[in-house]
Amino acid sequence: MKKRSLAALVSAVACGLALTGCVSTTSPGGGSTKTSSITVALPTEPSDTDPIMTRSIGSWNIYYALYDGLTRITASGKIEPGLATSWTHNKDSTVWDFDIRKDVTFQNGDPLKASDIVYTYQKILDSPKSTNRVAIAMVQSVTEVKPGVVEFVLKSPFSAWLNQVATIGIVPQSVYEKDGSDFENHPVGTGPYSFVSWKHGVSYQLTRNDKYWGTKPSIKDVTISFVGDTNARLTGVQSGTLDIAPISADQITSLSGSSQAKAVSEPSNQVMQIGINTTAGVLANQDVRQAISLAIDRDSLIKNLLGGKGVANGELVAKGVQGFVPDFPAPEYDPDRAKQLLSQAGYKGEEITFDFASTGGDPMSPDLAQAVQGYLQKVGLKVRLIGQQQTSLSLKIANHQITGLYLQGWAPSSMDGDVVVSQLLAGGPEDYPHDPKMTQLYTQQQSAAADARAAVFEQIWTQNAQEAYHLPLYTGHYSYAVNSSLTWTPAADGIYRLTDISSK
Amino acid sequence: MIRYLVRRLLQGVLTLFCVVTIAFVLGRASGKPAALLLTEGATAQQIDELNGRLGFNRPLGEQYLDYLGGLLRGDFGVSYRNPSAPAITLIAERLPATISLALISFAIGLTVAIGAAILIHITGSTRLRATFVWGGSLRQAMPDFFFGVVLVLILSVGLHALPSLGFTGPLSYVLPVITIATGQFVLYVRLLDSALSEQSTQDYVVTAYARGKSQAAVVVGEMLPNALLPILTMAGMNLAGLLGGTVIVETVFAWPGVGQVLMQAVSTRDFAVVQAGLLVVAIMFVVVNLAVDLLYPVLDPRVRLA
Amino acid sequence: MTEQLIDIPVETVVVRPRRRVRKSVLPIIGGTLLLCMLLFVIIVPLLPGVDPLAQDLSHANLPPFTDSAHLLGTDSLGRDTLSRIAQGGRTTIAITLAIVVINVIIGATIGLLAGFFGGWIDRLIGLVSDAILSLPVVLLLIAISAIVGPSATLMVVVLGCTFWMGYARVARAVTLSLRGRDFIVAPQILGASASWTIRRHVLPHVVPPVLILAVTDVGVVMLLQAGLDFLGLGVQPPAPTWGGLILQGQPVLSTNPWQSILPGLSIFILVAGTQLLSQRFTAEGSIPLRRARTA
Repeated sequence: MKKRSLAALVSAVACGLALTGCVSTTSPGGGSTKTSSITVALPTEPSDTDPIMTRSIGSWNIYYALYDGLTRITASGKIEPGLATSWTHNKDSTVWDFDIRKDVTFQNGDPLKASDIVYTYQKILDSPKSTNRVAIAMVQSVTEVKPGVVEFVLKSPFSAWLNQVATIGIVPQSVYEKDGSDFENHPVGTGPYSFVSWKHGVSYQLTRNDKYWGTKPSIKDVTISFVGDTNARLTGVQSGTLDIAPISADQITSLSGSSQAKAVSEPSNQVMQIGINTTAGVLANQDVRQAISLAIDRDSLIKNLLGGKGVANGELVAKGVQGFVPDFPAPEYDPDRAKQLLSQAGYKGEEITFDFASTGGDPMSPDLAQAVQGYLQKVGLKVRLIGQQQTSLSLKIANHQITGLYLQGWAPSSMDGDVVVSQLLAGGPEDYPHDPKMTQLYTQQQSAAADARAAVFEQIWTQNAQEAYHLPLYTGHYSYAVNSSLTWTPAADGIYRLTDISSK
Repeated sequence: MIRYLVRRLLQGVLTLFCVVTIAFVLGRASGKPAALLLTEGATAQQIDELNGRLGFNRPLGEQYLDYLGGLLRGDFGVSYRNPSAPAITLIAERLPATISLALISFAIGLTVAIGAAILIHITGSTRLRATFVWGGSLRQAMPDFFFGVVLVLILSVGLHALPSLGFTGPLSYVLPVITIATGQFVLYVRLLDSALSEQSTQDYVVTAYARGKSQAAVVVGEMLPNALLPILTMAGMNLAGLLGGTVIVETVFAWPGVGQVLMQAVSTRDFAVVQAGLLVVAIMFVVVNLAVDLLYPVLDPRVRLA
Repeated sequence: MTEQLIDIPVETVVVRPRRRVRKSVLPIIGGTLLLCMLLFVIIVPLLPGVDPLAQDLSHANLPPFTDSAHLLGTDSLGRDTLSRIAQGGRTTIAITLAIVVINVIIGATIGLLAGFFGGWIDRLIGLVSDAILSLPVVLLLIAISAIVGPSATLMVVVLGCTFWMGYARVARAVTLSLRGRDFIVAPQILGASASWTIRRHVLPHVVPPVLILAVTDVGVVMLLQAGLDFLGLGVQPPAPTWGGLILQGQPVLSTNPWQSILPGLSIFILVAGTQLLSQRFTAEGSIPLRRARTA
C-alpha cells in the first residue's frame, strides 16, 4: 500500500512536470561558469531607495553601490577617504573641513562639484520627511568655504562625524532637482555601480560603472534579489539560483560537503543583548538583574547554538565599532551565585515577561530566547516568553512599552557606539533607568578627542555592567552561503560592498 | 436577469464595504506607525510630527470618511513608507505574478484532473482510480510548505534542474505550479469522478451506447460536458481563493506576488498598502464568483438566474 | 443569494448508500491510524521522563535511535523530539478541534435559522456569509496578529468565525427540505414554539450531515494551521506544534532531516486518517459540502 501510493505520488509529480512542458536538464544560470554576473540576496526589499529621503539598513546595500559619501566605511569598519581626500576639524569637533576629490564624475558623465555635496546635505536638512535628517540634525550649516572645500558647522561637538558622513550618499544637484521624488527610479551617483532597473519585489539590477574613480569592481553585473525566507536563501545558493545569501548560524552545517556552495562568516558589528525595563516589578532590583546575567551560560550558547560563531561580550558594542574597549571582561556564568542573589533579593517566583521576535528578525532569536528562558528557569526565575513579529517588537521598544525583558540585537551601521549609548542608556527609548551618570558620560563621550573617548566608553560599559541595565550576551557573525567560485569577505556591518566580490 | 445582476452587484459592493471597514479598523488599531518609519535616534517630537503628517492625529471618524471618499474617487491612499508610491500601484505591480501563478496552477491542476478522470472512465479501472485518488490524497495530506521545500531539495539542490526561487522566467513557474496544482488535483479528480459516475447511469448515456458510440466518444463527447458543470462553482471558489491566498507558496519560493507585498506591508505597518491589498483581493474574489455564476446558465440551460 | 445554484436537493447531502463505496478496508485503516495517533498524543506526555520543554544544549540535534534517553532524537536546544511531537500533537489537535467545533456550532445554527425562518433572515445571512467568504482569511490573520500578537487564541477565534459557511449551507439545505413536512408543520399548528420544533424535529436531521462534513474538515483545518505556523502566526515557542516543529527543523533539513520529517509524518497520518475515514460517509462531490473550503 505504502509503496504503491508513493509511486502514485511520483507519477503525479512527473505528470505535472510533463504538462508544464519545460522540464530542463540544463542548469538555469548560476553554476561555476558564471563570472561576470552574480545574484546576491537581501532578506527584505527596501521600500524606498531615495538617498536623500530614506535611511535604512536595507537601502544601504544599494547606496554603497550607487553612491559615495565623503568618507567610506570599509568592510572591516575602518574609515577611509571617499569623495573627500582629506579633512580637518577644530579642537572640540564642531567645525569640519573636507577637501573634495577632483576628477570625479557622476554616472551620467557630469563632473562632481562641491556644490553637489552642499546641495545633498542641505536638501536632507530641508526635507522634514527625510529619515536621514535625524542622523545629521546636529548640522548648523554646510557651505563651500573655498573652491573644493566643504565646511560643516555642528551645533554640538560630535566626534563620530566621520562615520556619519560615510552614510550620506551624494547626489547630482541638476538631476535630483529635476526628478525629485522620481529620482529613485533612475538614480545617479558616483559609486562603483550604476543603476539598471528595479523590479519591485523581485530584484534590483546594477552594472559596473566603468568611469568609477576608485578601484573598479571585478563583477560586471549584479542582481540584488529579495528573498524573505531563510531556508529559501540557503537552498537558493545550494541550487545555484543565488550566488550569495545571508543565512543563519544553524544553517552553516548544511553547506559542509557541498561543491556548489560554501559558508562564509565574519564577526559582526552586532551585540545580542537582553534589554530590561528596570522599573518593572522585581526587575527594579539590581540583584535580580545581576542574577539573570549570571544565570546565562554565554559560552554554551555560542558553542551549541551558533556553532562557535561568536564571542561572549560584556559591552554593548562589538569589536570594530568605535567605543569598543579591548579586554573588557565578559560577564560571568555562575548559576549558584545567581540563586544566592535571588534569595537575597527576596524573589518569590514573580513572573517575568520576555519579548522576542519569533519571525521577521534574526533567525536565531527564537532558539536563543528559548535557551535563555531555559537557563533562567534553572535558577528559579519564572519567565514567560512572548513571541511576535520583529516589527511588533521594534514598535514596542520604540514606544517604551516593554514590560520585562526583551531580546534584541544592536548593530550600529555607522560603526560608532554613540547611537547605541544614546538609545540604550542615555535617554533613548530603550533607556529605562534614566541614570544621570550615564547621560553625563554620554555627553562627555561626544566631545572627547579620539584617544580620550575610549576611556569614557570604558566607564559607560563598567557602569552598565555594575547596574546590569542591559545585559550583553555575545557578538555573533554574519554568515553567508556563497557560490564556491566566488571570493569574498563579508563586511562587519552586514552590508554588501559589491566591489569586494570577485570570482576565482 | 437584470434584477439578479443588480442584486449581485449591490451585494458585491456591500461585501467590499465590509472589507474596507475591517481593513480600516485594523489599520488604526495597529497604532500610529511613525515610530517604525523613522530610524534609530528619532525624537518623540519627530515621531509625532510624522504621525500628524500621515493624518493619524485627526479624529477617527474624519479619517474614515476621508478614506471612503478617497476610495470613491479611486484614490487608495499613499504608502506610508514611500510617499511617492500610491498604495494601489504597489499592489498592481504584484498582480501579474499572483494572477499568472494562480491561473497556470489552476489550469494545469484541472486539466490533469480531467485527463485522469477521463482515463478512469474509459478504462473503467478501479485500480487506476485508486491510484489517482490516493496519490492525490496523500499529496494533499502534506502541508504545501513542506512539499515545496522537498521539491526544491530534489529538483533544484539535488538535480540543479530548476531555479529554486524567484520570478525570472518560465522555469521559475515550474516548482510553485507543481506545488499548487498537485494540491488541488485530488479535489477535482474526486468531483469529476463522482460526477461522471452519476452521468453514466443517465438515459442519454445509455442511448448513446445503444447508437453504437465507443466508450471514449461517450465519455469525452457526451458525459464530460455535463460532469464539468458541478465543478464550475468549486473551481471558481478555488481560483478566487488562489488569487488571494497563495501567501505560503509565495513565501517558500520568494514569489513576488500580492501575498508577499501584503506580508511585508503588515510587518512594516504600512497599512495604506494593507488596506489596498485586502480590497483588491476581495474585488477579485467577488468578480470571479460573479463571472462563474453568470457562466452557469450559459453552460447549463436548465439553470436560470432570477 | 444564488439560491438556484446551491439549493442542491437534500439527497445529495445526507448519507446514502452509493454504488461506489463498497465495504472497504480503507475506512478501517483510517480509523486505526487516527486511533493510534490519538492514543500516542494522549498517553506519551503522561509517561515519566517525558518533558517537551527540558533543554540540554550539550545534547542538541541528536538523530533518532542513537540515544536511549531520546528515542527519536533531540532538537536544536536538546529537547526530546518524541515528547515534543506528542505534546505538539495535543496542541495541534486541540486547536484543530476547537476551530472545527466553533465553526460547526455557528454554521449549523445559522443555517438552521436561515432555512427554518427564510425571508429576510435568510437573505441577511446569505449576504453576511458571502461577505465573509470573500475575505482573504490568511491575509486578515496576518494583519490582526501584527496588531495583537500571534497566539493560539487568536487563530482559533479568527478561523473559528470564518469557515462556517459550508456548514450553514448544508444545515440550511436540510432544513429547507423539511419545511413542508407534516412533522414540522403539525406541531406548529398545534401551537408548539419554533424553538421546540427546531430542537425536537429539525436538529436531528441537520446534525449527521454537518458532522460528516466536520470530519472531512479536520484535515483541511490542520493543514491550514500548519501553514500558519510556518508563517509564524500560530502558537508561539516554546510550546510545540506540528507545523512549528517542521519549521524549526528546516535549517537542519539536510543534516538532520528527521526533525522535520517526523512532525510532517504526524500531520500526514492524521490528515490521511481523516480522509480515509470520511470516505466511509461522504458523498464526494456534493458542492455544498465542499464549497467555501478554500483559504
